[in-house]
Amino acid sequence: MKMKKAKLAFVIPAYNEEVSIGRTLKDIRKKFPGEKIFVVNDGSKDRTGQIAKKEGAVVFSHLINRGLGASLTTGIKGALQMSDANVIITFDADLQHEANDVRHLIRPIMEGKADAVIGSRFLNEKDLEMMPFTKLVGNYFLTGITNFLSSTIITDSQSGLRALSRKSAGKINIVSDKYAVSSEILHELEGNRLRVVEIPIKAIYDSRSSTKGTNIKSGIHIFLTLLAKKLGIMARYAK
Amino acid sequence: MEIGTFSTIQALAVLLAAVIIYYSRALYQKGNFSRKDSWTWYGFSIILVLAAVLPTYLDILSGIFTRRSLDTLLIFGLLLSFGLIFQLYVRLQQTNKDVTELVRKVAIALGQKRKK
Repeated sequence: MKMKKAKLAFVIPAYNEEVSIGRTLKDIRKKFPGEKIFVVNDGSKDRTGQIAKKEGAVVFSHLINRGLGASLTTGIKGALQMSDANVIITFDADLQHEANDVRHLIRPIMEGKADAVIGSRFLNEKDLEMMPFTKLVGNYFLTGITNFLSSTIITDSQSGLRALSRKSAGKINIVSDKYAVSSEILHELEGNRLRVVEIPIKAIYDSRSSTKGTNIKSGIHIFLTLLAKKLGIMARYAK
Repeated sequence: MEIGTFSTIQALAVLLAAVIIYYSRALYQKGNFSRKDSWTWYGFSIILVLAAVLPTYLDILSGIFTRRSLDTLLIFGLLLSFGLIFQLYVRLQQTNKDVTELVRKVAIALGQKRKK
């Protein structure tokens, strides 16, 4: 089957990432020259925005910090408006992901086999050893909640590396401003009857990325957000 | 303990009502409260003062729900508190959503402008 040519738009939410944003962008530029990169500077107090601009990314600057969900929504909406990309890639700014994995991620979309692809850190057991124990337990718990309330069968609901076809990116309706966004995206994809597949990815943890991410409070928030969507209290599946 | 013919709890209720009226008026004058907001709180304060100054009037309500006036006041207070907390929650969520939307529009508009 003949594959369409991939036109990518990278969406990178960043909050106080001056230490890693430069290297993240250089890595993407090296592996994917000429592709569009959109950094959402989420009210950072450091030089994240300036560094991203210097590296040639289009920077959307939130005047105040609004959270991961709000940043991803800004990035996805901005990317849809300002590029003709047929695949939107969401990518973390903390050097946790490898740009090489993106090639595997976009393949099912370009072959017409999926509308969205999630990079799973749980499909490669060897790499799981690198994941801090608290993150491992938290991820199992949150993925369980997500699968239960969204009727999905996903191994890594909190992965920040995902590829969305232009069609699916335009269809999902994100309400959450905070960490619940990862589960919410899956909930929306399922609700819109879009095809989701998972691909194993490598995750790299250093002292910074180990301490970031979801905690018990965000776990409760994720549960409540999905429950509200499930019960129809929050708007869902609609633009 | 009694202050004059008032009990401490009655005096505190009147004081609370006075504070609410003062702040509602001040916030209305500053433009932070709408007319509806301020009158809602004036109404709440007036009911509080009436309940504190003329507690026997609550006996009319207590006949409907329960035989004890204080129970009636507490139940109404709790129900009102739940209502107000819900109203606050709804408004806070709406404000949060509006702020995010505004921040997003500015961010995308500036991003587009810089690109040109």
